Amino acid sequence: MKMFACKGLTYQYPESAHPAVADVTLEIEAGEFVLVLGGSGSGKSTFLRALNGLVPRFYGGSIAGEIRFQGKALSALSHREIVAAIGFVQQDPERQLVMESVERELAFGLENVAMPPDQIKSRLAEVSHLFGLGAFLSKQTSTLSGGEKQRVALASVLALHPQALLLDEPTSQLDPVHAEELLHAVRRLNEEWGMTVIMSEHRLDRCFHLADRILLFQEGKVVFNGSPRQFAARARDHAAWQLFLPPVSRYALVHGDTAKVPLTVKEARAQLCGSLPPAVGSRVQPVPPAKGRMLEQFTSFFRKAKAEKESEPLLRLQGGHAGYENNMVLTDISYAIYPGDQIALLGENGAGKSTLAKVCAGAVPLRKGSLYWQGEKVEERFWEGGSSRVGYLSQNPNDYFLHDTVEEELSFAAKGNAAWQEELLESLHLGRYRHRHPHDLSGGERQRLALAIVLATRPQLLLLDEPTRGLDQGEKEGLIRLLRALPVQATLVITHDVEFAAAYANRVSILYRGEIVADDRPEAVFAQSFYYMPQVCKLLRNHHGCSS
Amino acid sequence: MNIAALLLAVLLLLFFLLLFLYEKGRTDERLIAVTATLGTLAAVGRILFAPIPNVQPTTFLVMISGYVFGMRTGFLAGVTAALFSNFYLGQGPWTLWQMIAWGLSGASAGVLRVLIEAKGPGTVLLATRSKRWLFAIVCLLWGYLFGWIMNLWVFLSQGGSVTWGAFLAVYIRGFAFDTAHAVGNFLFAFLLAPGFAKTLSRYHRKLLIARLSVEEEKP
Amino acid sequence: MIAPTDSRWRKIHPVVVCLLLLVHGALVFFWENPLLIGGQLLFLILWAKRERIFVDLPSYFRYGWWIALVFLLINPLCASNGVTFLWKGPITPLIGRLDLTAEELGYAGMSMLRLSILVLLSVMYQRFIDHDRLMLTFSAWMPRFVLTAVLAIRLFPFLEQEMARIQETMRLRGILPKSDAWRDRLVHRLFLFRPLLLSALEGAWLTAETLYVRGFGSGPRTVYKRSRITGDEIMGLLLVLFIPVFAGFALGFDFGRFQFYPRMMWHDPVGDLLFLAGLSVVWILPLYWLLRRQTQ
Repeated sequence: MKMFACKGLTYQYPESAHPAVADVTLEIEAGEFVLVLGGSGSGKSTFLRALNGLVPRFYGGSIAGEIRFQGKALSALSHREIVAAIGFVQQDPERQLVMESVERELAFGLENVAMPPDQIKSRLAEVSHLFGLGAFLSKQTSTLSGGEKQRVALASVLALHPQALLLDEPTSQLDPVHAEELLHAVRRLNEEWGMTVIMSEHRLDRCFHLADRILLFQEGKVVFNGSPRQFAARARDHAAWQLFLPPVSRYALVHGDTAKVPLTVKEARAQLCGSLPPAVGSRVQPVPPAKGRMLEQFTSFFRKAKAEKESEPLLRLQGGHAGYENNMVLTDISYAIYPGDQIALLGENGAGKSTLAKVCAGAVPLRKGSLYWQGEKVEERFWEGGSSRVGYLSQNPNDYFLHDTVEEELSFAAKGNAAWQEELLESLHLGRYRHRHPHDLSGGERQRLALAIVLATRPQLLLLDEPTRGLDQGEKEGLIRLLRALPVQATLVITHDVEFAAAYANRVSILYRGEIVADDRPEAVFAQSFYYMPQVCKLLRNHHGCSS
Repeated sequence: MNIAALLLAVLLLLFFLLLFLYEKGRTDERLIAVTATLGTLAAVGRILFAPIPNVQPTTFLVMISGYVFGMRTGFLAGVTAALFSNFYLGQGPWTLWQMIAWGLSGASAGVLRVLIEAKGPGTVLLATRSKRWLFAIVCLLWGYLFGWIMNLWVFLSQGGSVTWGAFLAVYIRGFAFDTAHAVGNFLFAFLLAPGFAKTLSRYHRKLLIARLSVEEEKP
Repeated sequence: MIAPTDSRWRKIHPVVVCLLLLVHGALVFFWENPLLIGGQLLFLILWAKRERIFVDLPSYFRYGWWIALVFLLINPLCASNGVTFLWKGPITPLIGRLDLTAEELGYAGMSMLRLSILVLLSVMYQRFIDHDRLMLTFSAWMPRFVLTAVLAIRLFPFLEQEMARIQETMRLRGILPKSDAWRDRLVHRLFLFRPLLLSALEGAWLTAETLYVRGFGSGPRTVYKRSRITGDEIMGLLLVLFIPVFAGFALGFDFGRFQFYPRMMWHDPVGDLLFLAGLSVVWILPLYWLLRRQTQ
């Protein structure tokens, strides 16, 4: 049975010059798992919103063509019929919960479609059992973590027993553990319940192979519609499409043996086992010299030896304690950042990563221990000019925007130094947006603007807190290139994104419960830890296993 | 004299009338979301400025919300702000008065807009100097009105048997505080109103256009 | 919802509790008798003590007291009632002669007791009422207002966190108030407000989208867990309503009369004592009845 059928679907937002979705014709069968790919602004979110009538019913604008849901025209269905039949989960967990307790949150959608209270009760029992929410029911939604919030959002949509589920980047705000949990739940829904799932997602290593079908959007058009395997095969000829492949597939593509592009580490392992050159010694090392961009990035961390290690550290933390009276986040931590360091700081949520960075930036006071800047002890007075030595970019670029245009923003940050302002605009590729409102920029552009603002004070050490959140693969690679070219002495990036860390860093530190448990060159760290292992490392590790 | 009781009755009546309007009017989910946001924002502002006695951006925020989004949103933003900031600063009989006072200040700003601005989604609000001044002066006046409405509950607890002299004296006594509030309002309005109006209008415009274009689509 | 307390009164239907407090609040204006008002205050204090809510009191009284104290002094000064002069001051324009009489002071004292009762009742309101449930009760009649309120509750901690984060970001960027002066601090705080406003508005749009997607406004809705009132609670409600009936009845028989002006006059102290005893019984009855279920 056809779940969705679009014919010549074209949609344009009100007051927009170009259609966001243009001439889309496709069919989606019941029970399919469809993965919608595309860069930011490619129209994939709009497409999802067209499938449940949010455009044009909520956003306005003009729509042409036709969408049929289970054979009926979508435009003929009432708001309520759509709500009951098509579930929708968006990316921001914070904004999706409207009620103050979990129980009422789960009931909210059911109340809205006027379900009798007795039936609501049994539906609640069902979903809370299914998602293991029993212990949460009486909790306040504001006390939940991001992952729990997203799970509640999903559960409350499923309580309506929809026939199709639309997910718009559901994991982009979550850390990897929670993201995987959520994706696992979605997969179960599809496999066991037979629910039709249409999802857009950046985190491809976890879900690419699960999909029955891939839709690739570019500038509002569907440029690919087929199975993941076909997509991988076609991507060989489209360099731009390779961004949407899982890292292991990209590695295999670049590596050359591409008769059949592997989609998972397992496949790649089976395929590449014989063809890879043997690993040298006990160390995991991808030997072939770089020819593609991806591989170049991946091997970059081997290039930089720690010659500077002997030199004076830029910043040194000695025996630091920080946190609250009865809940120390950092305990007796010693850490040094050297000139030339490009550090990726990994660790689970609550391990104290942000606290460590904020200690280094002077935002969180040390309860014990001391901080040295180029060998000199840091006193309270130091921070008066602190932002010219240490720049800190938080997770929310929006917090940096105080003015109406990009230009004003930078002029304020650069304290009126026009030449420096122009240089920043230029080097961060913001020149053509100079008269835009910062809030009209896309996610990646906002991040660049915030980075430019932080750089305006010419810091020598740059700290970035999860800069890759919500960025697509293309934007991530752009960020890496940008960070490499920055005129700073050292950079520390807090991230959950292991693939990003592998591609960018020349030093990886892992923080666990307020202590540094690993701190070395990336290849050494990744060889030790299976969890914090990029896909390609996993592959090579096993390769080493099979060759010896 | 039972002027206090009479005033109370009138205010309560207005209060429920506006609540009724909000309930029965064309309040869609976009407006509900923005109303709750603005109200909460005003409440947060109140707590943010709590260290500075009687100077807070709440009145200004409520009024600019009413000015941009109209009477009902302004009213409800004020009511929400009072209700929720008091969960932190202390709930009491004064909550009802603050709900009324802030609610009415927001609603009055909505009325002011209808009086001095042209209709339509494309209007640039507070574009001329005289409009800015007028808005700031109305904010200033609300600094006093707010204090006066708040004093009513004190009179009410006196059972209404209050002399004119005492009435006057209390208002004179509160004059300094009300002035701080009023001057704060004026400064906020004067410094921030055009910028905030612009920011809020951006959203309001988006909301109106989405709604208009949704209605056009419907046969 | 915000005060994390678990008073046993929160388990009782909030409308009943609300009405009980309202009746007590209204009763204060039934008479101007210091004995009855003092008695009521004492009763409420004992009740509050049993429920262990005294810790909350200071913050409540702080706000009301300066106004009240002003009142205690100014009203007698300006009023020209009473005959037992304690002090005669100068004549001022508009207000007239400033003077103090024993009667006026007595009246002011009584007013203070009255105010204390109201403040105490508002503490009880804050602590004894399951505010979520009270709001739910209204959600059938005014769903939009209730939804707005509920959304605001959700947003409050969120926006506060955002605010704290923005403040930290500003500090890290080295944007600080130019000086400690009042004006600079003000300007600085205003500066913080802009990013908050923008991000809050942007979020509002997403919230609205969620509301739409979840079917709010798609037609008539049901209310899960409509808080049903139990038989016991209805009985309690009747007992609460009996309080004003009893008081009104007694007033009809001339109990509780007390005159301040021109000279303080207490018509029937013994009768009023009896009346107070009767009132105490009527006050205790609903408390006993409503809590019966909780203590069993």
